[in-house]
Amino acid sequence: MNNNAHKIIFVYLVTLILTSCVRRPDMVPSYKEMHISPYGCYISIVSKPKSALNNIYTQGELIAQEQQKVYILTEKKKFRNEAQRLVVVDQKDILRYKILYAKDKRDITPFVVTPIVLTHGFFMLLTLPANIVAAVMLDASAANEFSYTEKQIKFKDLYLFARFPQGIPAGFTAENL
Amino acid sequence: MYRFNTFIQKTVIPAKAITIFFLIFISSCTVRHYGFRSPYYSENELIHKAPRDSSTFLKAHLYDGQVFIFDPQWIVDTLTHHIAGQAKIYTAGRKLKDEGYVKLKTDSVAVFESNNLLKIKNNKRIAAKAIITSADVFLGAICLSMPKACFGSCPTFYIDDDSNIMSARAEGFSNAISPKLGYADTDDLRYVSAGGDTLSLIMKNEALETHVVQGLKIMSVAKEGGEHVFQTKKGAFYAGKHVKNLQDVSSLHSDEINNLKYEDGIAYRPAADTQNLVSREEIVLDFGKTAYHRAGLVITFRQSLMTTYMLYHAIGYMGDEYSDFMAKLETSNHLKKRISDVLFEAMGGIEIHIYSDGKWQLCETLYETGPIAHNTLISLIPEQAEKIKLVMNKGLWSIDYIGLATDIREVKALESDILSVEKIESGKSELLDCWTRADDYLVSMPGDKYLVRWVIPGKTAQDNALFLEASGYYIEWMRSNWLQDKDLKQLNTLLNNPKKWLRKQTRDYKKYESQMERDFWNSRYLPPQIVENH
Repeated sequence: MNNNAHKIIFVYLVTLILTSCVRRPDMVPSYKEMHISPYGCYISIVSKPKSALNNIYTQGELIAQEQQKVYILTEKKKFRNEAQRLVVVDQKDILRYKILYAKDKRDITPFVVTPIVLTHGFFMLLTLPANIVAAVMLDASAANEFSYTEKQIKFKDLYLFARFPQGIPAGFTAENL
Repeated sequence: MYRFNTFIQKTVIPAKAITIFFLIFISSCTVRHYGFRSPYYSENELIHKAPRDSSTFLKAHLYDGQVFIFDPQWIVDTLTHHIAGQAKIYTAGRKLKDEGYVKLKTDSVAVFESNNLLKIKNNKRIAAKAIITSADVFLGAICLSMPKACFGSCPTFYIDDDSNIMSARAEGFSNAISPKLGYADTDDLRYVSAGGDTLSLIMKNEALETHVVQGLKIMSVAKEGGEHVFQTKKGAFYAGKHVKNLQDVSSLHSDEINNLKYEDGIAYRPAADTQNLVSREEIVLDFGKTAYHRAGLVITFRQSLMTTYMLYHAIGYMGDEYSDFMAKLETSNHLKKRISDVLFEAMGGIEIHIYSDGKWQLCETLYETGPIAHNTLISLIPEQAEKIKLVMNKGLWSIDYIGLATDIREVKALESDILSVEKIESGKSELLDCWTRADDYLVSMPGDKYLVRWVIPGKTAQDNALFLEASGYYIEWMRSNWLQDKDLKQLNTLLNNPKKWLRKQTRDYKKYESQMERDFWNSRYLPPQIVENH
């Protein structure tokens, strides 16, 4: 095999590793506790360029979905004013979104087992990349197990994963939340 | 293109592996079903659609933002419209407010949300079951789900001093399983009382049913000494002194003939055919040399459990859509006709044929639903009759007596006014104000007992034969262990081709036929009495 092929494969694998890394925010409940969690799911939204949100990467707890809007309680550290934490995003400003409703702990088995391939000698050329790919795929798969993107859940169904599926209670503000 | 092809050819990773890899990677982009979570916007929807198993938790989101998170053992009380169970209560700000056993009014809930436990990969979907009612009442008796031999009765009536279960004098409106099918049913109480006397009857609800009694009347027929009074299926009354007993019956043994000769509670009850529940038998009656002058054939009979078996199977097949069917029945004349005809169409009545002019002719068909109380009817026999035979479904009927009344005369009945109605509970009685208006009704729940009194009209010391006319309907309760029998295809067969359905049920029915009666009587909603013989 020539060096060019090695380089291509290396780049390819690095790309995979980078693209499959998914955050597991602290606020997301374990899959074992999702069914009794009183909170909404974690949502991350990428807004359209030149939209009212000005490329704001909006993420936090999905509070409610009403008509063409979603209400997100963003993380505390981003805002000094509590009232500003509740962000309202119009559907027309959303480029894409992803919700994470539960998480599993990372399975480290592949990462423990993979070094064993170093003992494979010449065949490591085959087994090492295969192991790395498998490990990355497993972790990515696990991280994505409990998530939906805009391709998998319609905007109008986001309310199912909101803190208030019935809509924002009258008179409530971010301070109440 | 050449360099790409070279890469593919020369790389150590086979092209197939790449293809497989991409397929795995893009699989996450396909639409997935989020069936582990579902919303319900009403108590009715929750009862019908929410899965009920050990892994289904329920969240009740209130209008003010609070949420109640119930453990899987939550129940819905459809009488008081509450949901109850162990729950944690969170404020809108999601602070834990309280936890423990709670009861929550269902109309304070904006939306219910069911959640199943999530599992990692290869998880099989837990089967869903729905519940109809939270009233899993403790029976203290056996109620088998297969066969469906649970006690069902509509209201049963007893003379005050009678407490033996087998001494029920009447069972009201057995066919009226919904408001639309309500009707008035008249039963012979086989009781004589003098004018001016007070008659007391105890009305009981001995099954898992809700009875809606719209009226109770005593029809009182004055009779001369030695006369018997009978009613026809159309509600006319005839009296006669001379009633001939059977002398012989073709194809029956002497024991069986004796069972038909005397009205003693020991009935002729043939077992159903082993091959076909829809098969019929014929018995030719011999009254000796007889002139059928103003004559009527008198039969005292009730049904076996075949009808109950069929009815309860129908309810089981409806499953969690039972209430939907019952609701639809109220607005669909077609469904009403289908349901009211299906039992008769499937099994038929007791056909009375007479032989005259060299051939058999159908004279009349008697039919009365109900496996509890024997009823006596008279069927007028034309004078030209030479012989009489009965044709009926084998195994459906229990006949206690057959006789021939001659020289009968038509008589009129007087209606008696109700004197009082008392509800009897824990040894105490409470006087009720019932049926003072035409649209009044009395609702009786399982275990309820009422004492109803009438004054018998007519001349003092004049004997009167008494008949009870009961009008109303009842609602059969779904049993939770029947829900798993939901099968709309079978229901369709039962309703639209009942004979075919019965034929297919022959083996199962025969398996349990002999013990069914015993289990039936033992599953009353009261402390059971063991039936030794009847």
